This record gives sequence, structure tokens and C-alpha cells, in this order.
Amino acid sequence: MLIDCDNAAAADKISEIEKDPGLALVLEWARDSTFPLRLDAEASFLELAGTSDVEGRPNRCLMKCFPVSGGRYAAFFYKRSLVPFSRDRFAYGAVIRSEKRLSREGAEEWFRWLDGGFHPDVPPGSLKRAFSFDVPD
Amino acid sequence: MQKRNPAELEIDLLCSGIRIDASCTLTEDARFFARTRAGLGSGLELIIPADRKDLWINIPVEEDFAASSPYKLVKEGEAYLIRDDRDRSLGYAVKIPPQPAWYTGTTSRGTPMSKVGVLQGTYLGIYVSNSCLYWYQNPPVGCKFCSTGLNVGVNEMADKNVEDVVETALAAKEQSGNTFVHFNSGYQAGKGLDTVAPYVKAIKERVGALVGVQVMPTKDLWKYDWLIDLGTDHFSFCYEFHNPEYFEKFLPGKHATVGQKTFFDAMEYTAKKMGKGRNSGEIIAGVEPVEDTIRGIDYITSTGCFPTVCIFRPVIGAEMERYPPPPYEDMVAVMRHMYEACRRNGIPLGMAPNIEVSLIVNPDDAAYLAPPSLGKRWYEAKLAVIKALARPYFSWKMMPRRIRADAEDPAVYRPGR
Repeated sequence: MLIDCDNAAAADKISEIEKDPGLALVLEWARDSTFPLRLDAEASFLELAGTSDVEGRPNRCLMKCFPVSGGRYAAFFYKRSLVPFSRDRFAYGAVIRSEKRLSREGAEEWFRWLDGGFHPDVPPGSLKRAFSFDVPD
Repeated sequence: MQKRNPAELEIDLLCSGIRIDASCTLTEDARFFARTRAGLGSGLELIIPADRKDLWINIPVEEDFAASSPYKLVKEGEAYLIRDDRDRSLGYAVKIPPQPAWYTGTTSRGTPMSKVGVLQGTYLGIYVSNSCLYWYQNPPVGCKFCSTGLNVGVNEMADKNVEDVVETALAAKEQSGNTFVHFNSGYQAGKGLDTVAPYVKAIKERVGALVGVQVMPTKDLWKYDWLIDLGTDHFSFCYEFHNPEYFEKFLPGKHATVGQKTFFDAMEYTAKKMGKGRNSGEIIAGVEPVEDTIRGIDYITSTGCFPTVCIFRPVIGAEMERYPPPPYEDMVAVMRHMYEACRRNGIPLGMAPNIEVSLIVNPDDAAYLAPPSLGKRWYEAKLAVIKALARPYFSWKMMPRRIRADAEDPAVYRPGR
């Protein structure tokens, strides 16, 4: 489910995302998911944050979903820096899927990983730790 | 709450991390944050001024646990202070080492020097060659505390060119007064010493600096003779855990391909060849039981090596990211034991000029933890005398000089040829 999205900025972001068929699917599955996720209305493309505490600490896990070349989509998993002025991103990897191979079950795995704080024992299937494209800001 | 002494503060910061207040202007004042090598140096480089000697430390800032640290770095006027939320009356004046000019320079080949090597404390650390091969196996068998596979090729160059390394080391020597270049690498399928050899020779001949080598140990002990002739001044052996069960569980690659005994054999061999206090055994405190770490320190010092004890840091992205950092009290006990073990075994500490490692509690940092005694005073006096006597020797060692040994072909060292 999406939380904290009853506001104008989130509504605008949702309208923007729904213009892209792949991102629209992932957004729909996020809404239906059992995991409480927050949509970042300021971020580029579709960015979701885990909201459940992880071992008593705030969840820092983020997933940015965006189109890459060849009609494929990337779900990029990362954390932002804790240093106030730093724009560093700490990557945990990415899953790359063509639009037709996007699935509700696959997306639910991503949401579970976000919610659980990127637990190293249960990464989503086909997670690539290194990839050859730039991740947009 | 009682104010911590410099070593206690160093240990508590390594265990707790630090938060950075918005008053800080580290973009202008500090070295940039660099998650290179195994990831340990990903924090804030800082100096704790002290009467005996300043303590250098790389404090966790990015890891989750740092967000709930009682310590906060603040800037008041032009000065930096560490405040402790547990007692607002406590404040520790600290210094932030500035970013050296060469960090933003490039080599003549156009390579950014900061992607060749970085200062970790006062020494230049360079991760040579490709990433650790354990990361390329399926399933990966990398050490579970390590994040090197996530860094090389992202935050630093994957392959280090010898010319780039020489130019970077020269810049670090000229601009930062660097005296020590430390090469390390991950698993290179038995070729660790071969990989590092050309770099060692180049630094000795063209830069003039003390050189340390930290690669996976080999059963071919004759290769250490070769590396010594090429100019290696120091070997460190990262066997991480003294308890063999922990070694196997957390270091599956090292267990399967090298084994703990190979580390011990190499450490003992080089200690015999090079003498007391030249080489080190590196272990991680805070994962295996403290008693095992103590046993590890006793073993390392009994060989004549000094212990480099890292306080376990659950770095971002590592398999052990979610393990808790160790309790402060345990780490104080470990570091106190480290100093006492060095004293009992007569290990000369802090002899080489200007080598302060920010990733660990240096054995001589831990002098602040040992209670005063006649034995301690005698040991400290002896260290001061040896250090003074050793000064000309180190000056000579840090002059560029011709190396006769061949860095590409160690055949003459192979036994039975």
C-alpha cells in the first residue's frame, strides 16, 4: 500500500508516472502490496521508500524504478548518505526487466526487500550487483 | 559521566559512529569521503589531539548505527568539537585533516589521483589490480564483513597503472609528507605477491617511501624473499578471526582456498626473516568471542609481529551489515590487552616516522588504556630511545634507490632450480 500520498504533490507525481506503461504497472502493484511504502513525489521517475523500522532503526531503503534502453526497466535499490550535504548513494544492486517480463510477483519481492531493510539473505531474484548504465538522480 | 581519554574516545567513536551537525562545513574543511578497499575507510577522517601523540581515526558516519550515536560533530566558530548527548557538559576538541591538493589532481595519463589511492590516516593506501576474485564466484565466497566488490570500478579504478601509482605516491610524498605506501588486494588465485611486485619496486626506485604489502598469503614462502629484495618493508596478514570456526563461517573463500595455517606460516616466516615489530597480523574484534581475540593477540605478538586490531564495522552493503557493532567496554579490554601483549613481548611500536592508521586503534594509541606501572615506564623509555636511534635508518630507507631484483621474474628465488 502507498502511505502519505493524499496530497497535491503526490497526485501530480502519480499522474506523471501513469503516462509510462511499465512504471504505471509497478505503481499499481505497490498500491496493492501488503507492504507500507512511501512514494517520493520529488524524486525522478518512480521512487518508493520502505517505511517499516529495521531492527529498531528507521528504514533507509529506497527503490528507484526507471526505463533503461531497449524497452527495459531497472529497479535500482539504494540508500542515501546520512551526511547532510552529501549526495552519495549506496547501491545494493538492480533488477533489469523488459516490460513484458515485469510481474506482480517479482515486484512484490522488491517491495518485501525494501520493507525488510535489504536483508542480505533474501535479495530479489536476478539482482545484479554491477551494471553498465547511469542511474538518474 | 567521566570524560574519555583519547584512546577511550577513539574506541567509543569506532563502536558508536558519529552524527554530523548542520553547522559543519566538511565540504570545505575535510577530505572527501571515500568508500574504497574493503569499505572500512568510508567514514570521517578526524584527529584527536593528545599529549603523547595525536590519534587518527576514521569514524563511521554512513552506517545505520551511526544515526543513533550519542556523539555529534559540531562546528563552533572555526573550531570543531565532538559533543556527547549523554552529558552535555562534555566536549572534545578535534581537528579535521584538510583535503590534500593532489586529491583533485590527475596523473599525466589523465587518471584522477584520488581514484588511484587515498590517505587513510597519514599513509597512502592503494588497492592494486582487479577486485577480489571471491566476488566473482557463484555463489560469492567473499568475506562477509567486506564490501570491496561494491567499490572497485565504482569509487576507484579497477586496474592501477604503475605510472599512475608512482605519480600519485610522489604527489602524496611531496604535498602530504607521506612516508608509507600500503598495497593491498583481494584474492588473486595465488598471484597476490606477483601482482604487487612491480608496484613495490617502482615505489622504491622512483619515489622513496616505506612500502607495506597486504595480500593473500602463499605457501610458496620463497616469494617473500623476493618481495623483501624488491624493497617491501612490511607485510600484514589479515586472517581476521583466530577462532577457526569463525574463520570458516565468515571467510568462506579464505577457508576454502588458503586456510588459516597458511596465514600463520607466512607470518612466522616473515617475522623470522625481518625481525620483531616489522610485520603485523590483522584481526577483527567484536565478532568472535573476546577470549578468542585475546588469544589471537597473544599468538601474533608471540611471533614478533604487532597486532592490528580492527573494531568490527558493519559496513553498508556487506553481508554482515546488520550485525551490531561491538560493545565499547569489550573493545577497551581488547585494546588494553593488545598494548600489554606488545609490551610483554618487547615489540617495538611506533618506530617508523609519520605512520598513523585511521582504520584501527594503533597499538601505541592503546598506551592510554594501560594503567601506570614500572614496566610500562621502562617499555615507553626503551621505545623512545630506539625511535631516536632508528631515525637515520628510516631516512635512508626512504630514499629512492636502485633495486636489483627482477619484479617480473622471481625464478632465481625458486628453491631447487
